[in-house]
Amino acid sequence: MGFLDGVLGRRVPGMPDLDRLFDLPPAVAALEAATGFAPDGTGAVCHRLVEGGPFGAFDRVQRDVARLLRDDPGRETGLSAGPHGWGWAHVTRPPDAFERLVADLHMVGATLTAAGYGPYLLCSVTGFRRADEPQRLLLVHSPGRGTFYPFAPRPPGEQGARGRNNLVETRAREALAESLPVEPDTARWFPLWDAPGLP
Amino acid sequence: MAPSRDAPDSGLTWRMLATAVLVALVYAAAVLPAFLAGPVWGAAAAAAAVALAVLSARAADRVALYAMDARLVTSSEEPELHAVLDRLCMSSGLPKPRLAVSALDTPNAFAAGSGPGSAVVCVTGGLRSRLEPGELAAVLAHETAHVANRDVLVGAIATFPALCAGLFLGWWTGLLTGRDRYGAGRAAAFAGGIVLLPLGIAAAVLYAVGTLVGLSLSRHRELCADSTGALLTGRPSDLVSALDKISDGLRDASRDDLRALRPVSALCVVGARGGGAAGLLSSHPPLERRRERLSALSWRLASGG
Repeated sequence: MGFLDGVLGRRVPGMPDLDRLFDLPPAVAALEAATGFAPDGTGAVCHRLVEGGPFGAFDRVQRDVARLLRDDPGRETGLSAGPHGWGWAHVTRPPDAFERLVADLHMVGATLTAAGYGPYLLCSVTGFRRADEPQRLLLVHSPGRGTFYPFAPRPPGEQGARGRNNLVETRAREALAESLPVEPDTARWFPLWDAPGLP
Repeated sequence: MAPSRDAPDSGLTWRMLATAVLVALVYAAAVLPAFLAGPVWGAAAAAAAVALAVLSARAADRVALYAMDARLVTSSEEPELHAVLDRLCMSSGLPKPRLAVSALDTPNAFAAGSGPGSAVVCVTGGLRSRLEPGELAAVLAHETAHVANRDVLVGAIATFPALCAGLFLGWWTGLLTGRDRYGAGRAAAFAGGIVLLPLGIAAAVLYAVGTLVGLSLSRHRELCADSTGALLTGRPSDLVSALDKISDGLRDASRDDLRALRPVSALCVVGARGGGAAGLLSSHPPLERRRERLSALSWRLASGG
């Protein structure tokens, strides 16, 4: 957004860059080699719930997304909505079908974008786990910026209040820096405490 | 749908450009006397005026936070508000503003700080207790839009000549009435006041015009922030219901609370002075007007075009 647009009160939203998602499967091998975190088969897309009621344009698109996701018996899917006006479309596949999981997430984003709701996509996340440890790692893709960042919430019960495992996040960044565009500004590594699958 | 550069709000943009030209004229009127003394003096006066205006905008956030008795909060203190702000920054691409909470029971919110880098967003305790989560997100989106549009800077620059003229007027009327002066000093001050009469009249005109232009610009910026914020969340009707609740809350707020809000009234999501007698003297557009524009947005979003 240019300075003039700001001063005149006009906002030009960035169009999402979804194709970056396909850089994820090749990069995951490097992540697993360096840190031991492997895909656990979960993924989700976060988007705004645009208003319009059951007959509105957005709900129609959301129904399309749900129908497209339901078609394949190899995955479990669902939609969830938060009280603040954003929701998640989540997909679970077997851990070894990571490429197809990424294709599912891309399909959700592309369906919303094709209907004109690209600026209302917030992020796509894929879940990772190391063996049977409770610590999870989420790789978050922000389509507006075309970058990825790691988010490692501490498992509950460890050190009381919720927090982030900075060590895991830093290791993940180092492992991915070669193969993925990692968000350089760590202030933009926004936490996603309500991501599906988090306790 | 997705806001584009020129489609929806070009009328508003043109009106705002016209107001900006008026602001420039107010500035020109303020520095014109200095140009009479010579071009170098004139340029110096213009530069000083702009520099002071920017400085006053820079200080505005601290003044506003102090006036509202607000304190900055971390994400562990206010996880919900921070989560909403995170999501808004994800959508808008802005750096995350600092978040402050004020203990006031009057429902309101404001944004301060001269640019996206140094912004602070503040909500009152009354706002949090009265609004639903979705409405809270809508209000925060409205404030984020103010930050994105640099409204504090724009507003400070627009009202600065009027502020200076007001200060000069106060000093000049002090000369004429001879407040705190006795004997010969009083007579000399009165003579000085008479000599400065043309300047005093000019300041009075500048004050009146500058204030009116500043208020008009402020109303335009509010409408802009409404539509930017509503498009950011995709839920204009949440903002409408939030505005209704806030203006209801302001109507039965105590006099003391309203007085606490007055210094930051122009920055708030709903003006603290209520509707006011004349639309010209209000820093916010009437609720009806805002509701109309937001329902037009709702309709556009629902029909997908």
